[in-house]
Amino acid sequence: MHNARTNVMEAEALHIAYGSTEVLKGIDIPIARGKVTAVVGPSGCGKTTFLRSLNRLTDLTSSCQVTGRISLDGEDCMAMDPVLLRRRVGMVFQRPNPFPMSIRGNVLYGVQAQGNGHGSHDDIVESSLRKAVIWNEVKDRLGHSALNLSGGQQQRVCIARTLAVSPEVVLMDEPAGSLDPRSTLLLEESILAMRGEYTVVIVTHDVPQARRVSDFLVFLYEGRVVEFGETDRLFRDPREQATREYLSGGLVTTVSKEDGHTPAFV
Amino acid sequence: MTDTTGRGGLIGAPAELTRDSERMILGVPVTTIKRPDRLVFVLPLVGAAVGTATGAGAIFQNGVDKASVPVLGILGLLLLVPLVYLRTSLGTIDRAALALVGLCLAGAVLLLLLPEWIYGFQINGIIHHSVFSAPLLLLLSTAVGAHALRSLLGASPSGQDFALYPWLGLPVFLALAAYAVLLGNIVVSGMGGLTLDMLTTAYKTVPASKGGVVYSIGPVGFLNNILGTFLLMVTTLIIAIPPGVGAGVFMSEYEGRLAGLIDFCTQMLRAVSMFVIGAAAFGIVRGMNGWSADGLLSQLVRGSYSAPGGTFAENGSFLFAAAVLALLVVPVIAKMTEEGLRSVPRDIREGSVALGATDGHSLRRILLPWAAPNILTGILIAAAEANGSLAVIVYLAGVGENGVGLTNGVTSLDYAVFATTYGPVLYGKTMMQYRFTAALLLLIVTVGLTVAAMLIQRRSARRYRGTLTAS
Repeated sequence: MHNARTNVMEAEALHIAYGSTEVLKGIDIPIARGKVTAVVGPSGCGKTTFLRSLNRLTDLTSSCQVTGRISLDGEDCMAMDPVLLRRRVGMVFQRPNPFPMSIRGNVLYGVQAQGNGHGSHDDIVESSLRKAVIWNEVKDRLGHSALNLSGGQQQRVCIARTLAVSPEVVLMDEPAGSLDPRSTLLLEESILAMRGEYTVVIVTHDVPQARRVSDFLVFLYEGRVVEFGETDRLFRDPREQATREYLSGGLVTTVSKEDGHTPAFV
Repeated sequence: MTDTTGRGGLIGAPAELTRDSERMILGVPVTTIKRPDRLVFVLPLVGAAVGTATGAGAIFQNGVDKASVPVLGILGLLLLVPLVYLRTSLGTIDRAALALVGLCLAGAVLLLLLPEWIYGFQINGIIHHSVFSAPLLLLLSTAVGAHALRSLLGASPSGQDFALYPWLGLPVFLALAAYAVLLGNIVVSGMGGLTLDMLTTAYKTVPASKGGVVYSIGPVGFLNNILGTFLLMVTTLIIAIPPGVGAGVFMSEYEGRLAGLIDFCTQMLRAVSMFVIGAAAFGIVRGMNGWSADGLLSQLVRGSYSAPGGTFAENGSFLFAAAVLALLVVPVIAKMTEEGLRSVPRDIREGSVALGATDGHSLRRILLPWAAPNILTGILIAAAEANGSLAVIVYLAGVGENGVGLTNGVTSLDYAVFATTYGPVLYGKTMMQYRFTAALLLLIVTVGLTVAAMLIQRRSARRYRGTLTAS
């Protein structure tokens, strides 16, 4: 499965529309293997839609039309069985969504769903919870309901649940969106721990967070990629004025030349 | 200006110092009345309680109605007390109280003028005085009670909310009183017949030897009706649950024309009168006239019993009756299943999909457990309906003297309640005296079922959606 490609996933000329509303207007984004790629941009720029298209959760919305090409290890994702694709491309959602079952049940849900339901899998449970930086907090109550945990703990259990099935790529949709600062810090710690072993694509509103956790940065604006590159470079020396404005926390008043129009407000 | 009353209120204070809402509530500056003064409103509150009791009594007993005029008059006078007190000591007029006093006295006069029986309002119709006095008493007592309560509590915001309670309580009180009277009657009348003997004996007619009379009465009891009720219920559920849950899953999870068709069919089934379905079922039984009572199909549909001289067909077997009842309850289960599945949060649904679960796995592990409380409710409603669908059973059932089993003639407590009054003459002759006992037994089964339903539902909601430990 693993080959020498440096990009584990690639989106090419990706257009996504909900009915007649075009959300993504032809974007090309490579996802580097073993790295953390952050997608930033103002609300409504299409970053969540982009993320959901990577594991074809967009299929669940009947009005959503995806055109263009998304590949995983060179294979066309559109031609794959969506269930098999999702087993290789996991996802963590904005709001913690633990299943109403025990912590152990949550972590092993994906393992069982993929047909490996036999055995206790204690090793998988422990290693997944360790990677998600929550093992010490829950190791004595694995049989308790995951719903009794705090929001931050729930979110890290959801990460452990995603990691338990060893996906190649982990998608994160504003995973710290509903967490307090301390939980956010622990979450970022687990993202950094995942780097190398997993490929992570994270969508976030939080520009400083993107700077802390990511290797590559995509700045998405009104359905187009304004700038893509190494995170350090984008913060240090952005090519586009709009990127500089957004990353420094200001309103975007100009956009890239080829786009040719200037929005009034973000 | 300063406080001239010496009672510490804000009487006479400039208007801008007091907020409008505090100054005037229904015309009386209640917040300005100190607590000892407000206590005068206890009198009309007591009057309102007596008035409510009298009004409720008049619904059930014409004799109570005689008290309606004096009670209404006294209610008005009791409300007059705080009115006069506030006027003389504080110089304020409680306009709402004044209006209520007027209404009470006018009502009393009106009731005094009405004769006890009023003829000719409708063809052959006779209307008793209490038809007017009971609602008048209840409404005015509630109004006076609410006003007195509000004044008593000083018209604080929470006091105002509390003063709504008489209005909210009135319909509840009436409904509960009606239930108490109806069910109390059944319990009191039925208790006498509720002996261990009646529960453990099955009714049976036995051949008589005396000339002219073919049958006479043997043992008397409800055993077969009780067993029949449970057999019918369980069989109905066993038949109805798989298609019910299946249709619900289809309606919720698979959108499209077929799901729409299933939805339409289940809705149509709900709309059809049960008597129509019962008559149709009976048509099938009648269509088998002349078939051998021993035949398998006849056994399954009509049921049979053995007697000297061979095997004889019944009017409908437990199995057949359960199948017909299942038709009626499948839509209930389907609808509740659909609702339960639709209530699964999108987050959780997508969480399962994103982990690479197949639709079947999501359904088994996440969706159906989540919907379980709804499905259980649907099943218990279905059980209650199977218990109470006399409209179907009345065509097919017998008194159950030939035993209880899938291919026996169907019977149930429900039918026993009916048959003790309207059933076969011979049965009615001996069982008439136990008709309230049958009703009481049915009541006990139904209440037991409902209580069980509530317990199971609460527990399963915690188990599948909540924080109950689940390893």
